[in-house]
Amino acid sequence: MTLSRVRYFLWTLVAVVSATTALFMLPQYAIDGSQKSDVIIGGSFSMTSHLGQPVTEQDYIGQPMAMFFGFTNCPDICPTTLLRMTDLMKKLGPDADKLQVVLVSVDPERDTPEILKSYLEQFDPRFSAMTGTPEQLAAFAKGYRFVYKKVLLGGVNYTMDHSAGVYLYDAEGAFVGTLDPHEKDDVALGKLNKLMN
Amino acid sequence: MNVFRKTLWCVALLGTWTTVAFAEVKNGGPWKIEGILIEQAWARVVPGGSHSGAVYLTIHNTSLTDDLLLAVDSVAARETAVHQSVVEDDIAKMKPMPFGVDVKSGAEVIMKPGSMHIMLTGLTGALQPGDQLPVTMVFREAGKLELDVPVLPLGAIDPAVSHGGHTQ
Repeated sequence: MTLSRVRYFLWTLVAVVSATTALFMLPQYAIDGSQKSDVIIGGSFSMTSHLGQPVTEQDYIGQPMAMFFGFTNCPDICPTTLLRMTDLMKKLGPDADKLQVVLVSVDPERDTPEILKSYLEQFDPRFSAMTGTPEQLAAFAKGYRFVYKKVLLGGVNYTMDHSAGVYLYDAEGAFVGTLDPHEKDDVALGKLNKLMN
Repeated sequence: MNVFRKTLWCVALLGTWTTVAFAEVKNGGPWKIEGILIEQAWARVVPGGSHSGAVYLTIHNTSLTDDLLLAVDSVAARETAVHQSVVEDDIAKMKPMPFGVDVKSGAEVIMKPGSMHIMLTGLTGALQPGDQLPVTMVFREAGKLELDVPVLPLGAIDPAVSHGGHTQ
């Protein structure tokens, strides 16, 4: 056997092994979109709830959670996400009581617990929110893989860029996926139902 | 003859006033200046604690000339500007439109949630359903237009809610 033949044989072997592995792996992911991800997105955090109580990841274990990011001075996207979540909760019916919906403020400079509490009053009463010090938020974001950035608008005015998705966690606190801002309601409801059952 | 003509003018003028007055109390327009027609204007309720709001509307350019929305303003806010919400690489951002908004001849520009909107920051008061929000729009060709935009309850005609999901 020449060297090139050996190489040819080995590459074929690699291809066959990869294809076989893929065949065994793929269906699980293709059929069940809520398959737990291998990526670790989570861990510990320490924040303050909209009721002024200190909270950690332990307070959210036991029930599935939909967590998203925003700030109260966000005029367009954040209320849109909150309204969408309000609407999805309605469509979930009684099951919605099992879901914790949490807004994480990415604007700790302006969003105090009192402001968040007042803000939430316009939406589903089951929603909660959290804020913290800039350091607490930074540590939270690192573990939970969300991003945010202050963008100056001129003068003292600023806005925040932030992760747009709604992150979903199961009752054990494991990350299972996201809701995309542009997907249809039935897709989102399918994901939420899977998360809760 | 002269008296008759004057009376006719008065009636015509009154008629115009009445039409204008009635057009303005209607929710969301329409408002018209030259070839520019604004309709379906509404502002979202601003939840407690927030000082930022958004106005949504549709601009039609019915004239043969391209136009440009140069500026927007409101006495109710510290700053008013047209912004575009975008989601890029899963990150929600707002982009200012420093060169104005093109409104080509015969075209329409739709401002809606999750997309282009008139952003108000530093609102001087809360926006409650039923309030009227004064907004000024300045077009390069058509000139200046004053609107009183109705504040609608949260989720009232929100496309994000009524159609499921929203597009950019």
